Amino acid sequence: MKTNIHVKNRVAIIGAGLTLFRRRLLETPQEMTWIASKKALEQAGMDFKDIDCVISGSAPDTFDGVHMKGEYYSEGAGGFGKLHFRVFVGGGTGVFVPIAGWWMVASGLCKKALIVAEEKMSSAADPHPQAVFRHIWDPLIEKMLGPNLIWIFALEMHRYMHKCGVSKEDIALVSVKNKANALDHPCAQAAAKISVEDVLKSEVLVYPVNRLDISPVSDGAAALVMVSEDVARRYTDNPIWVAGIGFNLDSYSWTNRELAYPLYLKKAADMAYKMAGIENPMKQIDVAEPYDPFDYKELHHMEGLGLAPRCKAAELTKEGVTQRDGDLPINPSGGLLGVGNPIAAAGLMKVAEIFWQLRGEAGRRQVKKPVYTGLAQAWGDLMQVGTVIILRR
Amino acid sequence: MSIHKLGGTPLSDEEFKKIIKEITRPNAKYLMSAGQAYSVFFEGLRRGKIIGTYCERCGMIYVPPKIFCPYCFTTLDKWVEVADEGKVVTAVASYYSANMERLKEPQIVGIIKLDVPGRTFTSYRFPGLLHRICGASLDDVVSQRIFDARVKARWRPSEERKGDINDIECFEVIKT
Amino acid sequence: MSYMRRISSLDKIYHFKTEMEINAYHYTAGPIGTRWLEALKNGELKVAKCNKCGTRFLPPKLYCPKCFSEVSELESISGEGYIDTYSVIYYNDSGERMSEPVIIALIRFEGIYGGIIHRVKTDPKKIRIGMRVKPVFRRDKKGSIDDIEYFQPIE
Repeated sequence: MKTNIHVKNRVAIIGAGLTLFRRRLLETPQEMTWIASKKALEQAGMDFKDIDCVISGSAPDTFDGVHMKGEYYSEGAGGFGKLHFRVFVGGGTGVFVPIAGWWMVASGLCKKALIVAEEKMSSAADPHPQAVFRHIWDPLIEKMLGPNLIWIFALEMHRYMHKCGVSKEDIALVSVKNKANALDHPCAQAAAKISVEDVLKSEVLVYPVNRLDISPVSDGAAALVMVSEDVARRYTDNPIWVAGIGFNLDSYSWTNRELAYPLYLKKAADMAYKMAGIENPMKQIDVAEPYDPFDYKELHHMEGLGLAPRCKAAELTKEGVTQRDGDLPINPSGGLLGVGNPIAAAGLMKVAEIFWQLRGEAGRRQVKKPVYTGLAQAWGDLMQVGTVIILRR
Repeated sequence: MSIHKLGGTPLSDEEFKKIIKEITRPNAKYLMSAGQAYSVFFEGLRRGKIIGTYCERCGMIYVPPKIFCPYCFTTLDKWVEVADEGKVVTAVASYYSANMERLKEPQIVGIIKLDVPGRTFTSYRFPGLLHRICGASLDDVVSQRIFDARVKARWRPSEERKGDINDIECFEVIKT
Repeated sequence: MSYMRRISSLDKIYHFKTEMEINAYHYTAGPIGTRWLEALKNGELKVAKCNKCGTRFLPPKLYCPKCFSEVSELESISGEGYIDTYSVIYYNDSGERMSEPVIIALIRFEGIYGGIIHRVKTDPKKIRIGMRVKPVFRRDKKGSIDDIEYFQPIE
């Protein structure tokens, strides 16, 4: 396997932790960060005082309602008196935070990093957390039209359906699969046993998007412990290595993007595959967690990642290839549709899932086939950020 | 079981309303400047025209206008008028307003690719706008007949135009 | 260059007004914070106490800021503290001069890690660092740090 990069220190993940993902949690942002960090450190066999860096990710301050919230909640991760910074790339943050952690550890700047992501969307209670997204639109030529958040996904979903000839029934299968998978996830918010009928009969928000096609608003936090190679071997026999990372950004303009195919993701994935020495993703990736805030997005992203031929992801879903006992399990955790969507923490939850899957510690969610290489991916909103991380046993 | 082992304390809608908490109201108001390029664009809208900038190197026409080409990195200072009609690239039917209030009749919105006489553009790089679409029914959207439908701008009367995107009332489906 | 000259002849730059999208934030206090606010509602100022290292601290939270163990206890204190630093404020949020200046201070308590920020009611000319103060509660309390109307000097 050829790779195109020489890394000074190989980077391993040795622990992961999540809070519950729920519509409203009582805990403050600092406390949520602490809970997730403590669980991750417990799994790693480390303590807060062992950590030298805290790298965190969180969506805009307007959700939690605390200015400079990275600096505020980082105390919960033991971040005071240590190297700390916060990154944000929209929904892509959850996978970008471990990427930022990777470069800090790989370069030798950090030896033991705590990677956290936190979101408390319930604080923006009046009128509704969704109102924050009104400012995502171009303030000069789009906001005056009175758009709501769901237009973005509906416009893209409809173009994808039209170009690839995919029906709403095919897309609804993803929601059915993920919500069912989430029944085995202890932190899941929206796990349920539903049918394609239920999805199609649920309330139409913005045609073609129905209520059961989308993931819920959530509070939650997630954390990982990322260490350099020499440290990893001291703490565990089973470190999971970061084999590749990639990130890319597409245009903000509606008129400058291919809506039916995520070009930004192909570029991010290529960057990660080159680093990991992967030439045939469909064969060489054993399990994947692409970002699924909407059910059609799982299909969209599978194609962008090269895990399915263009426009064919829906067929793979129909054939059961993406189930936990299939040839290419996709979103065994239940994804955002099943577990919940606290913006930054959701992506990190996916990385944690791949970590547990590769270690064989995913309990009832463990996929049937043996897994060595896994991939987690996240995506950011209107601005079309794609972030990818590849983990290997 | 202590709280951290569970991983958090969920609250129901009712519990959230009743529990002791602090409520504060922010007070931020913004005044956005349109800048130079958009101001010319809005002045064009006020006069009933859709105008954009033009890159001599790659030939791309930008509506909404840009003052530099993001592909060639050159400054753009040439303006060109584009037609106020074109075709629908994608469209959806929204049942909710921006404030998440349910609407009685769905509002149809979409991305419109605007015509430039003598030029063709790809389906993912073109001069165009996000706007309301009128004269289309919910069934036109569901059946996907709306894709590639030809539409023309319905302008507000000139004395009502203020120089913003709402000077165009909507893009109306041209009935053949 | 020619572009700039052409644009400068434009006599109107368009502006658009817009507002913050959230009307109000509702901040929950966490499991320990909620009990602390309830104590304030009853006219008691309490501190949080770490289960593991015994540190008593303010403001209260679910974890100890020193050893990061879980916290589940609250303890009452007398409320008598001292001023660690203060500032006299003459202008309000909107930049208008107030009729009476307001004094804000960082108030610490003996043996307690941390402290709280609150108002102090006294003559600005007499206030000094180290001054001993005690809380004065409002008659109608609702479970907020504002239930303490101010701290006043102990004679």
